[in-house]
Amino acid sequence: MNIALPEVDLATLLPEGILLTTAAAILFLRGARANGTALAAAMAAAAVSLLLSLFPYPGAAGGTFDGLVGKDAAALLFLVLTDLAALAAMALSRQETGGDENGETYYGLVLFALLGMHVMVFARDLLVIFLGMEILALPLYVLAGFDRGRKEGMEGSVKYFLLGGFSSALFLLGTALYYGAAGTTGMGGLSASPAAPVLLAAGLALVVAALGFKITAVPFHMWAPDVYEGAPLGVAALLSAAPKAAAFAVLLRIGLAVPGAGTDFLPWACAVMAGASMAVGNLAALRQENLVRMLAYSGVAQGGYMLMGLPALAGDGSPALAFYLLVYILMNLGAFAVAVTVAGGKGGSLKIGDLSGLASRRPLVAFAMAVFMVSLAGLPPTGGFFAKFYMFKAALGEGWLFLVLLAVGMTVVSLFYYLRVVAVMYMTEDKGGRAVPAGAPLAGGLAALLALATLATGILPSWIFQGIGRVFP
Amino acid sequence: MTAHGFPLLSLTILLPLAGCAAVLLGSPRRAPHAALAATAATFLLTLVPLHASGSGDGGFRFVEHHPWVESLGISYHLGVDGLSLFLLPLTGFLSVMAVLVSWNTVRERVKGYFVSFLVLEAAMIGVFTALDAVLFYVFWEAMLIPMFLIIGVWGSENRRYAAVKFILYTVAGSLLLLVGFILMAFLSASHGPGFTFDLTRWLLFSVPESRQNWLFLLFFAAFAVKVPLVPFHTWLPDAHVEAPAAGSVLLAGVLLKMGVYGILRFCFPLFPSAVSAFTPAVMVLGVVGIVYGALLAFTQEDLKKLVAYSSVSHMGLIVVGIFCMSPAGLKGGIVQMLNHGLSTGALFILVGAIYERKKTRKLAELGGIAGSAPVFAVFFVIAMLSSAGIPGLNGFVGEFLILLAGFQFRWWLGALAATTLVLGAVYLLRMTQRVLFEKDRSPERGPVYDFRFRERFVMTAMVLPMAVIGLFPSILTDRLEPAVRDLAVPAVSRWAVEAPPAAAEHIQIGGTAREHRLAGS
Repeated sequence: MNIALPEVDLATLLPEGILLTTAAAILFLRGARANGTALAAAMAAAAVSLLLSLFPYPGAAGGTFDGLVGKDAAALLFLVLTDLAALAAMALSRQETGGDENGETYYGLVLFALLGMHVMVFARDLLVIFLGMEILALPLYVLAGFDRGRKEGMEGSVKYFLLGGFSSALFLLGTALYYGAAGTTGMGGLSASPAAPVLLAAGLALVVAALGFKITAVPFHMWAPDVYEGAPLGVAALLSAAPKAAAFAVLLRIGLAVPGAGTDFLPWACAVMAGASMAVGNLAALRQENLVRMLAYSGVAQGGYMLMGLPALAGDGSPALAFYLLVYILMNLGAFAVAVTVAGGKGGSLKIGDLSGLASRRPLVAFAMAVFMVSLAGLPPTGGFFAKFYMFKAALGEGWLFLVLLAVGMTVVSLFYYLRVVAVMYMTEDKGGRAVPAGAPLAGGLAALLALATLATGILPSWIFQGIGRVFP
Repeated sequence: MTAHGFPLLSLTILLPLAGCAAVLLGSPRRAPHAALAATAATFLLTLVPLHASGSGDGGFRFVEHHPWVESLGISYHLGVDGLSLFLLPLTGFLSVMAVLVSWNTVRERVKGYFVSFLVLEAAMIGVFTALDAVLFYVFWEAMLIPMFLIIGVWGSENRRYAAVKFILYTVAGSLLLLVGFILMAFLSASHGPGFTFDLTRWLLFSVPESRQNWLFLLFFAAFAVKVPLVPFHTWLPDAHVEAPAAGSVLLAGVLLKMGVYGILRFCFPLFPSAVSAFTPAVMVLGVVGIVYGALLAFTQEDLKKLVAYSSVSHMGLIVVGIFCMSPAGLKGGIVQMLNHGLSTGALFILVGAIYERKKTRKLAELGGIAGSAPVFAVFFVIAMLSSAGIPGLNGFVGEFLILLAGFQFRWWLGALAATTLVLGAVYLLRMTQRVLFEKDRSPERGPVYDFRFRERFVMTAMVLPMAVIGLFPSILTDRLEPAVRDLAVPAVSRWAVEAPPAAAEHIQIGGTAREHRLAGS
């Protein structure tokens, strides 16, 4: 009897191995200094994983497990993005885990979530992608309610769990239909002309809807503001960026498949989601008083701008999407970093009004926040400008003029709430304000670093464009 | 024309930014000194192209060309031609004035104030020298945040509203411009020069007539808001009223010029047939602006609002002038851009001085200032006469050329535009009478202190060029000749040759102007 064993090349999965071991080890940490050790170990693991993807070692790219896993240049790029987001989000979590006796598990859970995102990014099979989504989701359900003292945290966690379970079910159903149409759960089934295009279309639609939950695309965005508000700020920061990067990697892989009967609805579906996300996200953000809820709706809108890349995949869509994601991670996590430095234990209930007079109290922090807001609004000389510029160029190149005009209109709307933050910081007097917290040096340092990076991507974006251009020739 | 290897223009942009660093590192007490040194040095640099261009030739000078984002066809491309030649010194000059005006009037957040002004100056110079569309756009938008802060932080009561309104109007227009730029780059890709944002390469092909109208509208939206043309003008009075005096000076003196500059730099050479198609509509808006702005100025009680509406009126006249498309109209339009910068800038400085003394800008609460401040009164009258276009001062030169062109274009258009002379005189004389003469109506009566050394110096510096331009207009008009000839090349000659996409580099079009531009790149 001859059983063909799949060819396994574990060297390709070295970063994931490091993440898994560190995450498991952190769970066993005990003692007075466990919290600090866990933070250091988790950040080190994520940083090593990032470097291993950024500067691939021999064998870093390649397929293994019979093609279930495939790391190509694009996968490595998205791994870098998820690692970057997770790394920054962990640096923001120092404050919130300080007083908790189980603080160290927090970092272990973040690493497990990161592992799940890695699986989503490099998997070539819908069932493996589903595994990745669940590995990502389970730790996040716990993390969303990590702050057990807050009622909003419990509420958000339950809401996230219910909707997350719902989206998992959608994904599984979609996978089943896909299997029925294509005869395989592998992505390769997309390139062959399907026997039952309608079945394939229905399956893909459900899969895309489930991914829409992860990128908070309208109409799958309802959970985001409540969950962000209740979660610790570090988790909200993680949720706002990292799962988006992983889900976009999957969408890109689906979208890049040869268009044919059963997949030709995808560009339009993405365009509709993009338009709806921009409109709903920006208009809803206008009315928010709570900073984190405002950032949540702003994230919905930013997801809409990024979705514009998918209908334009035949042109520059994928590099534009990757660049936008990178800049989004920099500026959005930067905004959360500022929120952490000024929150002083207030967490998700921080109001925009609490920033009043920040420019006179803490000029550098206020300046960094201004950079992030200007960049989110897409004004030069920040990375946000080139992100939007490149995205508009990609969409216009494929003839999506009305989508770009909608994006332009919604960008003008977004100026209202982004600049309101700047106006509150610079143009209102400090009304007694809150006492400056003892300082969150890690978050403050991160905000400074991210502000510089946001400006750098706006002034000298060329080398990043070149790097991304090599990935998507 | 890269004879000068020296990166003069980059230096001119970087000097104010270096001034920012100096202001930030120094003490708040020294901030005005550092800002003055930086703006004065920048002003001297902006004068260099003026001196070097005696030879009179239409190409770009002091060209700097470096790749910036090659994969997207964006380059760092700077240059000066006849169109921007005088706008640069105007920017440098008014920036120095803005610093002097705010010498000891700003008391809080002094460093931030001067940093905002210096960043604004760098961006303004960038706008007037950029030859790459995306670079232009980056500078164009980079002006917004400093101006937003200047109005919003150091303005008067309703400042936040005015600052947000200013930025929303401008961005709404300029995002359409960005879409236009990208579409233009795609057109360029399909017509020969490749996917590029370089203006000098865009000039190598003719935009298909079917696309011209739409692209013109996208471009024109941004510029019309900035000019501002009626009905896109409502942000202007609010911004002016709330901005500090120095902010108003730069807003009226330089920022409004950018709208007209953009039209001349992009719309005229790129979309000649659309420009002729839309000329009637733009003329109507311009004339409406002239009359409506003047009538509104007449009814204003607030001095700053009055001057702001007079700007709407004057800018309408400039637009009418350039859209006549004749050498006289273009020349008059460009000259009038400088004149308006000088006279309106001077008026805003004077209004600021009044407010400093009387703490009010209401016409009903002023009066009789001439009695106690004769020097002030003299400067006020000169600035007012310049704005009214009295012969012997600068305003007359520009208005005369524009009206000449207007009458040549259509006699009734000239006649309508000429109402600016009468209406302008009406509201300006009323303002002068109520501010300088009559009896003091202010709540706290009493003599005001007259101009001291600093203010006398500032106003002398403002008034001198008015007289010089008024008496020797040929200093300006001769140097504008090549730029104007270039712009007024009628659309026909460009359409005589339809460009075959592949051989776009070798076409001969419309005389020498193109070749000069090519040589410049």
